[in-house]
Order: sequence, then C-alpha cells, then structure tokens
Amino acid sequence: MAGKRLRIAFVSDLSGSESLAAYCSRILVPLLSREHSIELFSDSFQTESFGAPHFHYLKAYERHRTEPFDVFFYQLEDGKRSRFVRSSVGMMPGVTWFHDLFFQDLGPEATHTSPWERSIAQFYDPSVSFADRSVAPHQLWPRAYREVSLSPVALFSSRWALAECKTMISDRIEPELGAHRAECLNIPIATSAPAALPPSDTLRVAALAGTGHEGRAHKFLAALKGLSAPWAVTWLIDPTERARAEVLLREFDVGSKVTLVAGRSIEQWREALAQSHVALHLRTSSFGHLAPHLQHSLAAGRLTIVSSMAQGEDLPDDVVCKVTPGISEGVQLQQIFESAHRIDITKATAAARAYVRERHSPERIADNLSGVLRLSASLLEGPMRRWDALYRDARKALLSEVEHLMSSPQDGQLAPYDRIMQPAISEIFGG
Amino acid sequence: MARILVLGVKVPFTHGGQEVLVASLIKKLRERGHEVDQVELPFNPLPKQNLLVQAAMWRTLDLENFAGQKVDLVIATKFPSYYARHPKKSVWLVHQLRSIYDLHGTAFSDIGDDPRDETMRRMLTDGDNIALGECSYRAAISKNVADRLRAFNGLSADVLYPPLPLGDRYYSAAAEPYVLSVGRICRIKRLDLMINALAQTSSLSLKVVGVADEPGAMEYFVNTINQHGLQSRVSFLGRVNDEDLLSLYARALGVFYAPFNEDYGYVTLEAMASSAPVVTATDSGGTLEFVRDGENGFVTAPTPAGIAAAFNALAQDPALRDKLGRAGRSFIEGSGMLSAGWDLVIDGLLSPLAAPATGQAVGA
Repeated sequence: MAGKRLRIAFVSDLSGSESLAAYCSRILVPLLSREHSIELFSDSFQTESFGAPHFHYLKAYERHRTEPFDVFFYQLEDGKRSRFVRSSVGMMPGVTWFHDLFFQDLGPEATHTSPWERSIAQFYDPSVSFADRSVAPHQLWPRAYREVSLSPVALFSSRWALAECKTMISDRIEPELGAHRAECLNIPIATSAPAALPPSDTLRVAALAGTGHEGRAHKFLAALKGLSAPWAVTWLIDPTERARAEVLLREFDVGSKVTLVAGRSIEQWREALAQSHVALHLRTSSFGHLAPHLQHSLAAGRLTIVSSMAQGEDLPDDVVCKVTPGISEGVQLQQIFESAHRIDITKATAAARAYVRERHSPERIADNLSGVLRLSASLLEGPMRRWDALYRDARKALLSEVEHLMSSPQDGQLAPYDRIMQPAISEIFGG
Repeated sequence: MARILVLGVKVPFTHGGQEVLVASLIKKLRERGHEVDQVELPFNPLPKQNLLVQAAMWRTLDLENFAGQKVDLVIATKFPSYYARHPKKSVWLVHQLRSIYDLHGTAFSDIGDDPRDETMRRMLTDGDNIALGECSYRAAISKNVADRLRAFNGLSADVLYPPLPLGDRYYSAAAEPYVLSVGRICRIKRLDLMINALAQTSSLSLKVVGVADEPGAMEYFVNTINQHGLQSRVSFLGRVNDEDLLSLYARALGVFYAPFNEDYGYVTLEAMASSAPVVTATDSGGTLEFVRDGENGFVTAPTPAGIAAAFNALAQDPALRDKLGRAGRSFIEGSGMLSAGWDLVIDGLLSPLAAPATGQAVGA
C-alpha cells in the first residue's frame, strides 16, 4: 500500500519468549518498516530490535517532541512483560492492539488510583475541570476498561475479544469517545509446507495444557489411556507446573508414555508438532491464552482438537475438531483419537492450512495494520493535539502548586519565589 | 591542593550507602591534601511537587566563592545535588530520582498516569538532561547506574566503583549457622523474601543489621516473622559498630542481599571481602555485576523457594561455602575495591581541575 511514510511509535513487549506481543512484533516490524519509519519502545535498554531503533518507553514522549510521530501504536496483553504498556497506554492517544481483555492482576500500582476517567472526560469535554489530586480511586476492575477507554482506535486479535469488548466494555465507555473505533486484526502466521507426519503405528499427540481444571489434562489423559492402539504424548507445560504434572501422570499411571517439556515457547511447540499427528488445545479459559500456538498447529497440518469454548469458539468446524467440555468430553476425545488412525491427516487438514494462509498471512496482516495506522494517523491528529493541550494545562497547574508551596503560609508573599526560585525553575524546567 | 565541595543529600533520620560514600570520599580527598567540605540539604519528596522545588533549591545555590576564596570543584552525588551550578562540576552518580526512571510503573514509585505526575516526570527528565549534561565529568557508581543514565537521558558516564568503606579490614572466619542481612529496612530491600525463605530452611537463623526507615515496614516484617513462627530465629541488631559488622560478615554462613534493581550495593562487596557467599536475585540490578551464580555466590529467582534452596545448599555443604567465599574474596582482591581503588576514583572526579571550564563533560 503506497502513501506517506508514517513515523510510528511502536510500544510493545519485544522479547518475551511466550509473549504474543513479542511474537507479532518479530514478524510485523520488518514488514511495516518497508513502508514506515518505526521506532520501538519497550522497558529494556537495548538499542535496536528487528532492524528498527529501540528506546526505553519513558523516552517516547521526548522522541515525539523532537520529531513528532504520526501515530502511537501499542500492543497490549496480560502478563508481567506488558505491564509497562498498561501504564503507558494513555501517554498519547493512539492505536492499541489488544491480545487480552481480562487481566490476572490489577496492573501497575501507579494506575490503581489513576484519575483516567476524569482525564478522558476533560479531554472530550473541555468544560470539565481538571482532575483534583484528591480524586477518589476509581473502581478496581481487572478488565481492560481503562486501557480500552484510553485507546481511540482499538484492535483485537480475536473475534471473541472484539465481541467481548463491544458487549462488556464499550457499552460502558463514555459516549464522548466520539472517534472510538474497534475492529479485529488477526495475528500473523508464517506458513510453509507441513513437515511430513512421523511414520509410526503409535498415535503421537502434542499437548499444550496447564495442570489446572481449565487445562483439561485429566480429560485427555483419561481418554488416551482408554485407547487400544499405542500412543505417546509430548506435553508442554509452564515450568512452575512440572511437579503437579508429574503427580497427574502418576495418578493416571501413564508416565512412560508422556514426555514433559517445561516451557511453552513457539519454538518448543513447533518442535513438538513436527513429531506429532495431533495437536491438543483444550483450554477452556480466555485468561492467559497462547494464541499463536493454535494457529501454528493449524498451519502445520496437524489434526487440531480444541475446546468449543474460548479460543476454539470462533474457528470453523471444518478446520478443527471441537469437543464440548463436560461429561462426554472424554468420549468425544477418544473418538477423535481413534479416527486419527484411520484418516489421511494431511488431506483432512488442508482446509485448516488454507484457512491460516488466507487469514493470517504476515504480509496481509501487515498490510491491514498499515491501513489502520494510515487511517488513524489522520483520525488522531486532532486528539493528539488536544492531548498535548491537556498536558500543557497540567504543567500550568503543577507550576502553580509549586508557587503555592514556596509562598509564605502566613502572608502569601511570593517575593522569594519570584526573585530566587522562579528563575531557577525557568532555567531547568522551562516553566 | 584544591578546594572542593562534596554535595550530599540527606533524608533526615536515615542512613544509607550515600552517606557512607560521601564520608569516605571526603576522608580520602583530605588524605590527599585537598581542602574539602560538604554541602548537604535535607531532602523531602513529599508532596510530590516538592521534587521540583528541591531541584530548584540546589540550582539557586552560589557555590563558586566563599569568604573571598574560590571553590575549584564541586562533586555532586545524587538527585538533586547535581542541579547545583558550578563551572567545574563532577558527578559521581549514586542514583537519579528512581521513581521517574527505573522504578516507574512498579510498586516502588508513586508517579502515576495522572497528567500532573507525567508532566512532572517529563520536567524532571528535562532538568536532569540539563543538570547532568553540563557536568565537566560524569561517573556512575556502577554499570547499572551508568546504563540507566544512557538509556533515560542519552548521557554517557564512566563507571567508578566505590571502594569498600572499611578498606583492608575485612576478614573471614569459620561459618556459623546464620544468614546475615545488612541494609536499610524498607520494602525495596525485600527482607520479606528472606524471612519467607527462612521458613523453608531447617535450622538457620537470620541476623538483620540496619534500621527501618519507611513507615510500616518494620511492622510488616515482624508480622511476616510471626506468621511463620520464626520469632526465635530472627534478630534485629539495629545499627552496629564497624568491629561488630566485620565480625558478623566474617562468621556468616552467607549474606542475603536481593533488593529490587539495586544501584550498586556495598553489602555485596563487603560480604565477598569477608569470604561470605552472597545470595542475590535475578532482578537485583547492581549486585549482578559482581555475583556469579555458583562461582562466588548464588543468583536465584526472586522467590522464597529460590533463596531457601541457595542457603540450604550452603548449610549442607561447608566445602561449598568455603569455595564460593574464597572466589568472592579473590574477586575483591583483584578488583581494586579495597583501599587501592580510591586513586582511580579520585583521578576521575578531579580530572576537570586539569581542564579549562568549558561546561562540557570530559572523560565520560
């Protein structure tokens, strides 16, 4: 897509091995850099990433002041590595790509008492007076309510999240958020010819599951144990759950058939897929999902079994095998495992590979994102100017408070401030 | 001989590494024949707007002449002392205002996303760029502090590690079954990690040197001790004299020192000089410039389980404690951090005296 070369501030985690934001950045930054000038901002001190200049996120405003960005792009997900994005998403109105809408914690402490609701109200309605420092803490809410509100353009990496946002969050956002837009942007998946399936009489399964109830390990282990044919599982788990997983394997007496892999990076998952016929994604919760893993299973040409809830809900029935959690879950799983022996998996997964190629092609996703950023750059011009004005007002208020601090509490005289402090403040802070 | 002012920042009723550093520097400069005095202003970060005032107060000071005599050099140390103006200003940076930099967004910062907070952060960053940028010479007390300065302000600095305050007096002795913790008692030093870890060790005790300087900190730690029923295994020694401190280091099974993103940490080096292995955490910042996991100490996850595993390993294997301790001592002897290291520090800080007052940083 030709057009003006935008200056983009790209604020995201860039290095987490299990971070979806980092994964997407790795793929999209080089593609976007062909058309745009990108500066990356994260909470590390590195100076370059994916061929683009990199700065600490606290430098973003300074970089903007030196040479204004056309658009600020934030990538936000649940997890410690993206906490800095949660605290900085309101730095400048921009485009935010949400990979999660629910958070497992309340986020950076500094945002707990944030007066963001008043800031936004003032932003959209100048008659609202500036937030008082004594503002009461807003209701604590482990949803991305604050973050969505501070994002005039919101993108979601799943249809589920988009729908959830519209029903649970957007309805509650102040009507003054006139420019607010929300749409879906799929995550990019690079596809290649699927690796040959391992020639074996043994059904090989790659599983990505936690040990808790939502991970459904108890269901798939029981189903596999009931199979008459030989089977083997490579089970990727969070390293902190290894001990619990070992207990489960002992309980089901299947330790000899299951290889535990501590770690869930995309590279580890690809390695497991290469040795497997079937991929298991049975997680029933939307918290902490590992999105690219599922799409990689589809792209890899493996028979992919998902839960009909959460991540799997949006996928067409011809690209995945869906099982409904509940009493018949084990039977459903067993039937699919049995049939995996009888079908031509490569043929059966052709639709899934086509689905990924069509909807997750990195070039297409980069094009889509580029289009959104171009549109948003003009859409956000006004809001960015007004947000700057908000900060100019904050500066005036702050300097007025400093003046007040320096005046005599008895007589309110400002003489020492005017003569001594004010020149110093002007010199170093430009006040 | 030069007339030098060392600029310190004092939070009344507290005592920490910066005070030790300033006192040691003054002593060493005087030993080299310089006329030295200290300028200190009290620091009060509350209310937050006061941060701007405190910086401006340092800026208003006229430090060039006193009683008709010229001051040749000022040496600033930490925020906001480097806001002082002088044609020859060195900075030996202990740290900047961390709440607007590396602690931003953590539980240890009160700077939020209120536009006034964010505005103040921007103003203070601009102020730091000016006040630190104009220094004739810049050095930081650790690579960690120098890295922050480069990342946040785009300014380079030499790294001059502060030599150990008690010089060549550190010694080692046979280990006794206690863990030593030294430092201010406050949340960022994370003594609670050690207390929770202690509950996962069989028979070790914990000796804590230092005093609480944060409201509620002591109560929180005592509650944590009570929760685990560790009252008989934890002793708070308060401030101790130098001889007692040397003895405590020498006889410790190991030293716990795992603050969050520490600037430098005298404690790490003092423990190593006493052949006591240090147990620190992967996010402890400056300590990681010295502690090598399994070589001269342990670097663990910042969890009670990780800390406990390290001390259990030391308790179960006396030879391991000796091996790690010897490696630590050997590192210190080769590092110049005993008395000899002061020459390097003072040469750097006094380098502007040999150059014309240009206002541009030299040596950094």
